[in-house]
Amino acid sequence: MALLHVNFYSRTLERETQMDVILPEAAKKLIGMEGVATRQCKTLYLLHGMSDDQTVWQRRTSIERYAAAYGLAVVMPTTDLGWYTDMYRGDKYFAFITRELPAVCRDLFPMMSPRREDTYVAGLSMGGYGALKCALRAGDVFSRGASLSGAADIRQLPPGGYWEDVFGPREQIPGSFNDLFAAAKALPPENRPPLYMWCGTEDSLLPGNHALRDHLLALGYDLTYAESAGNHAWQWWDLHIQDVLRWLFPQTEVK
Amino acid sequence: MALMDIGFFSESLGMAVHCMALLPHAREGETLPKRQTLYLLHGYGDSYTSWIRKTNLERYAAHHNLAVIMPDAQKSAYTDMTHGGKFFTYIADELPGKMRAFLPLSERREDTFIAGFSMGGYGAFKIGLARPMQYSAIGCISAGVSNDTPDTVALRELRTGGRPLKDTEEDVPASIARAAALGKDAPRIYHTIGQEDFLLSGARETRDLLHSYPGDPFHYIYEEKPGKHGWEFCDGALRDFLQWLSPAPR
Repeated sequence: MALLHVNFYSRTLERETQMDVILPEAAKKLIGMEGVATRQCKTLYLLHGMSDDQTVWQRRTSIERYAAAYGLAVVMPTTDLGWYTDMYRGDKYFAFITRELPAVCRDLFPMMSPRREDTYVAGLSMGGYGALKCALRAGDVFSRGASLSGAADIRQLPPGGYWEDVFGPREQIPGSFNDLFAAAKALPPENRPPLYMWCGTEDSLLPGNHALRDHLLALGYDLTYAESAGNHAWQWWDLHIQDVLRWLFPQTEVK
Repeated sequence: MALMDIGFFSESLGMAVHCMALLPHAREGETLPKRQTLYLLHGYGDSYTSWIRKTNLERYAAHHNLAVIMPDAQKSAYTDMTHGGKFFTYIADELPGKMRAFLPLSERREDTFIAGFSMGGYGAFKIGLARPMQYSAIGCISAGVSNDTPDTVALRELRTGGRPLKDTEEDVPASIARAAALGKDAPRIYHTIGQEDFLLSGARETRDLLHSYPGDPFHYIYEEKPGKHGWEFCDGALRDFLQWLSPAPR
């Protein structure tokens, strides 16, 4: 796998931004890992959490090694504290992540398949919320979404301040574009993507995950839900991102 | 322009390597053709990051809508070292395929160029002329084709083990003769050096050698300008080289 640290200008954000990209690479003499070049490879957009940036998945997990087994390209953008949201007072991160970023990646990296069937999104915490929102609200781009320890229920956020800058006045959040419960309900059954959720049993976000799980199952979503011992920490995300890849590629045997 | 630090695996070196890439990218709704590409080689003591850090390359490349690939060749003089890595093979024969797999770079010879500064200028002459069907233009800043680049005898021993480069594909005068025989398909050459550069005499020898071919098959440009062997001269020379290079014939 090749690792690319990319600096580029975003017209949506109107500033220079960064992403890290892992690309499949043909490699024979590489020790300890096989590399296979893939044409029209599948792509996972992998989203970070609050306090993180584009480097964090590589620094705290072995994502490159896990992705190599599937010949999967991985795109890791930075989106600051933007909650993958067109902010009430701030930048348009949802437009950036669902419109501009896939277009930029397909322009810069022609090996990435442009098909929605080959394009997935996953993330942790804030990024788990973002991944589910991308899958539900931008189904023309992403065919599957996976959340690890996601902030599933933004209706429970405190009022005012930063949260209002992101999502707008608290009383307007339920039923809004950014409310995952409303997003799930709004989709007609034929457009509902398969989703994956994991949350640790020691995580304070567990109740929100339970609520969204129940909501999605009641609507008849193809939801793979898992919870197990764990808190809001990287040791669990390193473990469970591997489950996400197995869920995306059930046919692939990993040595 | 997108600026990328690319880490990948080189089969010819058998190790992880880095290169820097500058790539024009499309605006929303726009589809760009595969990019014209300059392979840009660093000098002795420098690395794949040097061009970005010490020149205005990104601004110049954006002006010409040009992708630029900057590999790392350590102190190898772009040689298949006897006691070290095969840097000639890596950059001449492996790197373009790797980069074209990752990035939307034109495969066409007329869209592909090579240039360098100092040791990299020597490397650009050596690789560009040994693979004249891969590159349509060559730029050399502050160097010549002599293998007597300013290094120690000990380093040269590591590079070549005393093995003469004569009659190998790294024999630049022989490559020049072969490339000249291509006639109109010979790469265009731009060559410049500072008047106070300590490599000036070598550059003039190269100038005389290239001028000795009748009919000017390389459309050879040689320019001496005020300046020393350093980045200040190199930055201006880079701008002038790109001005000469572009628009490239398509």
